[in-house]
Amino acid sequence: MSIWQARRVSPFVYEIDKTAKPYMHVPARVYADDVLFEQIKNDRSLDQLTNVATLPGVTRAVYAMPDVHEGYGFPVGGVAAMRENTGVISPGGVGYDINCGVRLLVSEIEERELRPHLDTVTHELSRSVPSGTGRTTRQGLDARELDDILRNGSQALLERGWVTQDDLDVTESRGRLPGADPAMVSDRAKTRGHDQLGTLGSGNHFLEVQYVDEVFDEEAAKVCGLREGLVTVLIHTGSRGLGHQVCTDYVRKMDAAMARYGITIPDRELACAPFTSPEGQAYFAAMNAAANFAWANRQAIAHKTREVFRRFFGGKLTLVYDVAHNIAKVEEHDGQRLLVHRKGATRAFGPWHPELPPRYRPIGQPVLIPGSMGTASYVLVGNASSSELSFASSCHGAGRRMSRGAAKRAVQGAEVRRELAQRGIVVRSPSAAELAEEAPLAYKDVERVVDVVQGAQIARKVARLRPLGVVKG
Amino acid sequence: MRPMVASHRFVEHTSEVELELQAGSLGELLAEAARALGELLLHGDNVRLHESQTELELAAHDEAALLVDWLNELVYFAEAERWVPLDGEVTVERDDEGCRLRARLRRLHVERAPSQVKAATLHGVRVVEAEGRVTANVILDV
Repeated sequence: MSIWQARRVSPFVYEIDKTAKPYMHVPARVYADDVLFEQIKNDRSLDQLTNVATLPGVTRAVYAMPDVHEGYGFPVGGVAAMRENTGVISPGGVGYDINCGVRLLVSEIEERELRPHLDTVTHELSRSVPSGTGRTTRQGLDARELDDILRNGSQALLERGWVTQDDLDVTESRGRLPGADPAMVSDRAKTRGHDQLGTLGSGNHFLEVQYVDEVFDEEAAKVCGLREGLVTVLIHTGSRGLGHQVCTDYVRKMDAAMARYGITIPDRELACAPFTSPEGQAYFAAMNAAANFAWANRQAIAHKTREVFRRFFGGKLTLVYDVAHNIAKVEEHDGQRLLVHRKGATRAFGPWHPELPPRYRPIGQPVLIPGSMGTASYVLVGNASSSELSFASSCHGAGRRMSRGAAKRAVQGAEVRRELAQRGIVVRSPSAAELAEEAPLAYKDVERVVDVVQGAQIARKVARLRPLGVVKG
Repeated sequence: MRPMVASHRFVEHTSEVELELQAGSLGELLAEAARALGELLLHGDNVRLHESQTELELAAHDEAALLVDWLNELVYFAEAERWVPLDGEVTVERDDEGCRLRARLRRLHVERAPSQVKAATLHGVRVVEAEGRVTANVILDV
């Protein structure tokens, strides 16, 4: 059986048998409808997903979310869980942007109150939050401050007054993974990251001012503090150069170490080591530190955003939730402790999960799904069945379907800006070319992606958010 | 037979950038990889300051790892020291331990750290030496 002979086993699930490729230990399951599955087959996503199914200690199945697209090693939108004691950890299963993630804040003002100030507010946000290639903060962190952030994440910002206990309550892992060890982060990674706290970076990262366009679940929306018309802010970024260097360092180390552990893999970017080995534990400690840096980064950006909003409107910007979508975490599924790798996939715990903050236990974990530039974003909450369906994982966005080059050939940046302006959306972008690269036509239809997640019972829709002002990374 | 002129091109990839290289020797291929990366990193608005020369050394356990490590070395310097490679000469020595490069590069200092490239990856990396030519493919995470 080849990987192309995937069977549709339910309306939203395709399955590739473990006999499709030599050395697959588990089947591969793809969450998609027929349209998305045809798009998924157009790149190397399925080949990469079935490669992941050959990793030592992988259990139950590997999963592709409906926004999956080819990446390197793991596909982007891929989920795999390894047994804690006998499985491996793979830096390529997390990606270079460790703890790339999303946070949503909700304001006390209505869309109509913001509209007259939209241009100025978007401009001020673009000045306050450095974005684009090489944009750094004016003042870097010293070694002690950086180590504090690597060890304590968002919680390191308490003394500066940049974070509140309420923020920490609704940040995944309270913005701090306890196993972080700054000593496992190289000097090079620290050099790359020391002046990048509070910066968006480039590519598909952004800060977006939005409003709640439609509520699908009144009860859950109320718990999240969302109602139709309210202005929200969505921040999408990660661990910047620090995380990139951590991944580079450990892919190199594991590529060299694999032979010692007798591990053979079909793709060197899946370089891995037993989770319990010195190399595995060192990477896990460094990855946790980079994840902490990312939470602090999003918190610092939220702080700057609050300052801008306070100047214009007074009142509060309340954090709804902050969630990672590039990470490996030890969690309990199927009654055992597993190391769940999510690369371009969002955790989606169902109601009453013990790791959820008390506020969200009755409804499930908020799942934040940014759309492509200019399109809608979604708030969902995890369902009780998510653990058995996908190790409690959901999609992380719309998912690219077109290369950057193809996008630039298909549309010009100025055209994208004009089209967005006609819809009342203000955009601040470092360049027109980057605007074209991130044009909506380069992405899958986020509505369809989210409908698959809901149809498959992984998570359910709470609210849809529409963009007003975009600060592009 | 005329000596092969080193060249590169960027191949379409859904989300990243694939770099395809060819040259007459591994050293020339690594020099061409530096040129290609410099081209990518200089894309967009940045203030070009001055040029200088630098020498670098690097070791890896095989040719593919050497190519990836070399690109990652240059990605690091671009972000940490704010310079991009323009061109240069690279020599490679091989022994039982693997291979080692020595490079002499002409570099351009820039005002802002170019960070378009997060890293070079080992995904599908391929270095093939046959019939007097060397070809390679490597995917860059952007």
